[in-house]
Amino acid sequence: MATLKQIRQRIKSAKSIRQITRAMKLVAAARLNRAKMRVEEARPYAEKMREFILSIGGAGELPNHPLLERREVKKALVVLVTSDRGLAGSFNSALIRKTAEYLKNGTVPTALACVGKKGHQFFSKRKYDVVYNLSLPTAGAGLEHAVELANYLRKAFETGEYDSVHLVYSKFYSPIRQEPQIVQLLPIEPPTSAEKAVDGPSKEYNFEPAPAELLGLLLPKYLLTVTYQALLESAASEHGARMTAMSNATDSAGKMIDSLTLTANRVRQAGITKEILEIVGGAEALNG
Amino acid sequence: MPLTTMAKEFQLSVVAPDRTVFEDNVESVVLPGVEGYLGVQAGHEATIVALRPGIIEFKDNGGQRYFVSTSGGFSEIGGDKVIVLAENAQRSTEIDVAEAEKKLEEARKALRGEASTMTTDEAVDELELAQVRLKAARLV
Repeated sequence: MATLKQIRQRIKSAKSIRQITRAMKLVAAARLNRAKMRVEEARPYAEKMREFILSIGGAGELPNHPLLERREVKKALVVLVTSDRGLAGSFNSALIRKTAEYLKNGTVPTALACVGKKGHQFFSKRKYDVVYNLSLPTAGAGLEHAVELANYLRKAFETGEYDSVHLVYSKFYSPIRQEPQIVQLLPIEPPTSAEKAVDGPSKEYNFEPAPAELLGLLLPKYLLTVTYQALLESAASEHGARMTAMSNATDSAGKMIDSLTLTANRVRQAGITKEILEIVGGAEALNG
Repeated sequence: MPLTTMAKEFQLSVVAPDRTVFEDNVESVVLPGVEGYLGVQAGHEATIVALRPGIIEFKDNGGQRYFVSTSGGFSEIGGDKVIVLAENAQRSTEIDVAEAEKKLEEARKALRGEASTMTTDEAVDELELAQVRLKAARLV
């Protein structure tokens, strides 16, 4: 049985843990709000971009473009988006597990590109071929990071180094729900016109310049938009996961403090009872 | 009678990749298309147009003029609304002149072949954007 002193020590450390996790929860909540706002701010652009490509596609078959080219896949690339920091519950491990599974089931040689330290650490430790690594600042991914990543991917695809590029990232549903997703980035899968039916009949557009040229300008931007969106969603997911994890940790620390306090009180009471018994016993002995 | 006083309004949205720059009803807008400037009023023919670096200018029903600088993008012109996807879009009132001048100087240096982290292409883009921003800032 632990002594009273030991128990008090443990209560003290549980209290400081609770303080830290509570602070981390508040920070994550604030960051989550900001990240959510950025996802929402970036959404109109992404949606309009899809509509544009649909409108051009509506004018006939999509013209040929290097980013649309389907080749036989001889070498593939997977981009894994994780966070730089841990303590976010199962956020990173879920992504890593999904990626590892995907790599194991793949039939062609697949290289790996990592955004964020956690994924890179995991796979490079296991001697995996990590061909590209991008670290994000604490403040979150900016547009410039998406530009850097998209440019790299585009070059790697256009030069024929890789024949397909997939992206593994965490999609944000709510602070307590994020799900790892695998999407195909390249070759670009044009948005299908099935979704367009909702928009009503398509209009007849004039194009300036010609559709093929316009598409050449649009597609790289589309790739960038998809990449940027993924980075933002991933940031929101990370903060959401961390907030939930830290909230749970704070609750657990609270429970631990309660039960330790109860034990401490019992031990203290037992000590007092024992002392009284000793005094009474001593007095009895004197009287006797 | 000037046409502008009787023009109908239409909705204009200017969206940058990371935010919405402007969204409201306007009377007319001038876009820097790759094949030349385009003036748009309500009821314009449906067109999709690519934009070059330049200034997007629009006017609300009070005759107030606004300027937005951009490094290029796309615009969808429909009968009753115009959507502009503009890269690096900034309202003329938001432009930091000192910063733009600094960028301009950096880009010029890079183009003169002095040591710089920028590639030539990047420098040309930066130069163009900085020039457009300075021009827009002067228009306010």
